[in-house]
Amino acid sequence: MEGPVSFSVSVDVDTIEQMFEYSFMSPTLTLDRHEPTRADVHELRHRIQAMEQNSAHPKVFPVHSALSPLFPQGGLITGAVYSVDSSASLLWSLVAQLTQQGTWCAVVGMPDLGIAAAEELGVNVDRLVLVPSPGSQCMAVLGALIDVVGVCALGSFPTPSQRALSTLYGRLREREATLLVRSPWPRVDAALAAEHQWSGINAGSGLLQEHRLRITATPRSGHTTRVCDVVIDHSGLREVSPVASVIDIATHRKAG
Amino acid sequence: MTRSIVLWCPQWSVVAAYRDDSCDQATPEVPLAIIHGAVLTECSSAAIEAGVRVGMKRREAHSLCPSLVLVPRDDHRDRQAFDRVLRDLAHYVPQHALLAPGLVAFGARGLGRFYGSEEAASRMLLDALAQSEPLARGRIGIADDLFTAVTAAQSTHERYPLRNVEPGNQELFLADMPLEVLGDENTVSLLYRLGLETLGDFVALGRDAIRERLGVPGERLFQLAKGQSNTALLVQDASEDTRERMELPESCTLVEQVAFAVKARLEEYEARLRAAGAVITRLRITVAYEEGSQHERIWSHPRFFSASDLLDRVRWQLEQPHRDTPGDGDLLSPAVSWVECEALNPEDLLSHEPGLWGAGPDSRVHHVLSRVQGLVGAQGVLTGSTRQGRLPADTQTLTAWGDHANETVSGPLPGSLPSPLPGTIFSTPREVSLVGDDGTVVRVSSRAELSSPPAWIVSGSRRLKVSSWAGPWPVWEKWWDPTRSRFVHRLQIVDEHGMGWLMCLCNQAWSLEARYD
Repeated sequence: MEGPVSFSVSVDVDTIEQMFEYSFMSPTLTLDRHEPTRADVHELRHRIQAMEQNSAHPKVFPVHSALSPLFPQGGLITGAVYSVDSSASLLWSLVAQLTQQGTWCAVVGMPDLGIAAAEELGVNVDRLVLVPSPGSQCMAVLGALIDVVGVCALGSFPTPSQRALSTLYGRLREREATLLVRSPWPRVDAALAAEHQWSGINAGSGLLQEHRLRITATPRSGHTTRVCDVVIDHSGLREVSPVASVIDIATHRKAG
Repeated sequence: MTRSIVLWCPQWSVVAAYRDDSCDQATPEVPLAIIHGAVLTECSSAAIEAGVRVGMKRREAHSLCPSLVLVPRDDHRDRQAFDRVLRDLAHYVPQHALLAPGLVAFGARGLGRFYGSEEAASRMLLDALAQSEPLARGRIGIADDLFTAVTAAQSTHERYPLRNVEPGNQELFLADMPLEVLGDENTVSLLYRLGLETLGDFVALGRDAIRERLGVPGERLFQLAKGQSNTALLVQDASEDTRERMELPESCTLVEQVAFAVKARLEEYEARLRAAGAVITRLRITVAYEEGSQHERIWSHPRFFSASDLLDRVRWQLEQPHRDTPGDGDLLSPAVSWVECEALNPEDLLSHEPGLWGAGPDSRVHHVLSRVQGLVGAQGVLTGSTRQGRLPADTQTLTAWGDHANETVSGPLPGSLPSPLPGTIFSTPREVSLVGDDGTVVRVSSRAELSSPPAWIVSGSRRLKVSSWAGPWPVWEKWWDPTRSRFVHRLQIVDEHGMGWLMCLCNQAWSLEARYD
C-alpha cells in the first residue's frame, strides 16, 4: 500500500506547484515531448529558407501570360537587371500585371512616354511614378526609389561606376526590386528587344490597327534565346496563337 | 425653423478699420467713412454728427466734413477682425453661424437654457462683445426664424439694444417693418410704386396673387415677410486663425537662412492648428521680397502637411525661380522680408489620424517620393492621368506628386486620336520633312488632299522609306480664340521597318509627333 500513497502525494505536490505557475507557463510542461521526425526537420528548414530570402530562390514578378515564355522563371526575377530596347509597348506590357496588383513602378529619365498607351495595355497609372530628368542626383534618386517600387525603368541614365553598381545590385536583391534599363549597362541578366510590324493602313486609307511584336530575350550566356510573338490591338495585348510560340533558336541552328 | 439669437454690430467695417494697423489715420475721434467705388457705404458716429450719410459721393462728403478720413472697403479685413471676436465669444458659446462680418447667429434654445433665459444669454453676449472689442456696440434680436431675428436686431436702438420677438409673434412684428428690410431692390421699388409701404401690406396681397405676379422669388419674399422663412442655421465651431505671417529678423539672402529663421515658427503654427483639431491639406505660401514684389503659390499634400513638409514647401518655393538660372547657387537676389503661410480649408484632424496599425505602405511611398522631390525639385516627380485628346500630347496630363490633378471632362471627344495610342510621345516634336517620289515636299490642299503620295521621311541627311500611310485628318481646335486656336493635319505612317509614326502638318511644317512602338 505504500507505493500508491507516495504516488498520490507526489501528484498533489505537482498540482500545487503548477497551480501558481500562471504567468509563465513553460511549454515543456504542457507539450508532450517526442523526438523530431524527418518531416519536422524538413518543414523547419523550409520555414527558415523562406525567412532568409536567399538569392537562390528569388521572388518572381508576374508578367502577361503572353510574355511569360520569354523568361525561364515565367516572369521578371527580383534583384535582376534586364535591358530593354526603346519600345514603349514592351516596357508597359512588362509592368502591366505588376501595377494591377498594386506594386509601384518608377520610370526614370524617359520624358517621351505615352501614358494613355500604358493604360490601354493594362497599366494601372495610379501606381506609376515618373521622374523625367533625374539630373546630377540620379544615383540618389534611384537608390531612394528602389526602396518602395517593384520595378524601376531607366531611360537615359549615366552608367554607374563598378563600385556603385555592386551596391546597387545588393540593394536590388535586398529590396526585391527589378531594374529595366534602356541605356548601355555593363551586366544584364537578359536583353529584351522587339521588332514591330504594323498593319491596317494602306496608301491613304484605313487606320493603324494591329501591332505585331516579335520579342527576343537574349540571356547573358550559356542559355537559349527565347522568342515570342504577340499582337497588340484595340483590345490590348494577346498571344498570336494559343499554341506556345517559343522557338529555341540555338537548337534550331544546331539541327540545321 | 430654429429660434435664433442674432448679434449685430453696426458699423463693423469702421471698427475693423480702426483696428487695422495699416490705416494709421483711423482713430475713434476722427470722422471716418468706408468707401466702395465712389459711394460711402458706412460712416462712423463722428462722421454722422458732421452730417455725412451713407450713399453720399466722396466730394459731397468732403464738402460737409473736410477732415473726413476715407478708407476703401476690404471684406477680408472685416472678416479677419470679426474672426478675432468670434474666437473670444467661443469661450461662452461653442457654435455660431456667421452670416456676414459683424452679423452672427446662435441657436437660442441651448443658450437660453444654459444661461437661464434668452435675455440673460443676450446680456452675456453683449458683455462678451464689449470685452473683446470695446469699440463695437452690439445689438441683439431674438425670434423664431432667422430673417425676423436679423430684422429685430437691426430695428433696435442704441439705448435698448435688445429686441425679443415672442414665439409665434413674428408676423405681427414684421407687419410694421418698411419694405426695405426685404433687401430686394427691384421688387421693393415696384411695390412702392404699387402703393405698398410695409411688410404687412405686402402680406395682405395674399400668396396666390404674389405668386402669379412675381413668381417664385416673390413667393420667397412672401415667406420672409410672414416670418416663415426656414433658412437652416448652419452652425460651425469657432475657426482657428489659419494665417501665419513670419517677419524675418534681418534681410535674408540665402534659402537656408530663411529656412532657419522660419523653422521654429512653422512648427508652432502646425502645432497650434493641430491642437485646434485641424490639419493642413492645402497651403498658400506667400513670399515677399524687400523690393516689394510677392510670390504666391498653392501647395497640396496627398495626406496632410507635417511641420517639416511645411518647411520643405517654403524652401522649394524660394528655390523655384532660381532653378532655371543656375550659377548663383542659393543666393536670392532681392532679399526676403517676410513669409506667410495660410491653410486653405483646413480639414478635421480625426479624418486624417493614422489607423491603429500604422498608415499602411502608401505613406512610405509618399515619404520616399517627397525625398526624391527634395533632390530633383517638386516638378521633377510626376504622376500621370489620361484623357481624350486629338493630338498625342493632349491625351495625358502630368501633375507633380502631391498636387491634385485638375478634374478633366471625360466623355467622347469627336476627332480624338484612335486606339491603339502611340507608346512614345515626343515632348518636343521632331521637325522633319515628308517628300514624295519626285523629291518635292508633300503639301495638303484646302480640301485635305495630299499633293503627292508620301515616299520618304527626311531628317537632315537621314531618310526613312514610307511603306504605307493613312490620312490626313484635319484638326481645327478652338477656332474662336485666335491665341489658342490651331489647325493641324494628322497622318499615320508605317515605315520600311514596320514601325508606325504619327506626323503632323502645322503651318506648312511637318513634324514627327509620336511613335507607335
